Amino acid sequence: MKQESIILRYEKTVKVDIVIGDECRIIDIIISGDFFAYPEDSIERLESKLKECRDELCIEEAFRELSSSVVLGVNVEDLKNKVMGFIKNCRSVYSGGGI
Amino acid sequence: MRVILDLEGRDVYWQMAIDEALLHLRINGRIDNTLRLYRFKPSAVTIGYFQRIRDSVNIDYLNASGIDYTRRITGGGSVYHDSGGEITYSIVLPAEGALVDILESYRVLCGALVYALRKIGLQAEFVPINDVVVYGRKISGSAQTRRLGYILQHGTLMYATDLDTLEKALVAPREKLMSKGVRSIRERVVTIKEVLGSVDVDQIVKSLIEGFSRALNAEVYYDELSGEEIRVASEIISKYRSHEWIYRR
Repeated sequence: MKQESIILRYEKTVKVDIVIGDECRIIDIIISGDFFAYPEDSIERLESKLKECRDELCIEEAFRELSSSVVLGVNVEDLKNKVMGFIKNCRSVYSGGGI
Repeated sequence: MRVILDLEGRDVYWQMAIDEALLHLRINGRIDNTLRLYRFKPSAVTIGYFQRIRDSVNIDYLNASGIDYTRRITGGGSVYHDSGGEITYSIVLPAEGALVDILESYRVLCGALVYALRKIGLQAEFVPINDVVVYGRKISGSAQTRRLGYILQHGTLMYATDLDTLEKALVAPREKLMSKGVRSIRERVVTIKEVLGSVDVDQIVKSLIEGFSRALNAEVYYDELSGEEIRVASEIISKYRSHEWIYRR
């Protein structure tokens, strides 16, 4: 299990705390910061959908949760790519270890 | 527009519970559009809905100093509410007309603060999303939530906030400070007293009410908190005191 954090600066600041488990699966993720989201619970629903994701398709699908929300101060597309980056990094470490 | 002057001061849990109660009661048609001006007594800290408590405040300092803290139902950042140096406003009203668009609603409602500050002689400006600045330094921050077509927006106006305590109480990520071109929270903020040298709180209050009246094109009348508002807040307050709510992130 690997725990990582990243701080992203858009108009507002976002911190992603993520725990990645076996097979590069997201065990836990918290997206925090001084941003605004309407409705507020859309972020909790996103976090919930991201749990168990282990590939980009699943992450893409999870972020659709925000499609009808307004998120202010955050570049959601970039945030999504950063979350995908955790999974890609994990996979590259695993595959690299096998060579 | 109903105006409640609630400036004697109550603790942070009560103030957050009253704001939420006003939103519920406005949604249910039990009250008119309401502007409340209030203070925190004792001084306290609130954090935004999405913040992690340990990333946004210095908990050890707050505990050692006996400064209360809780989480808001609104997004945005952590705020130090100085009982002797800050006026807080909250307003509940429907998201209609210019207030339908969220960004525009911040501009309209923060425009009331800009008006009030200019009225007392400060070159205030609105900086999206939710700040009002004087000479590039933040003097007021606001945060808004929306439920069922209604808005609760609350925000601060620092007239003589103890900025040394503010700096000890709050934590800002290095990335945020760098993006604002400052090295510390202290460099990022300013008070009315720092700029003008003196403060007339009554004049600030009067200017704020005038600012909201103009921003919303609404006649004002004065009122007090009702028994129903106090009852609903009393039912909500335990949430704001609870470890579960404060540490939920």
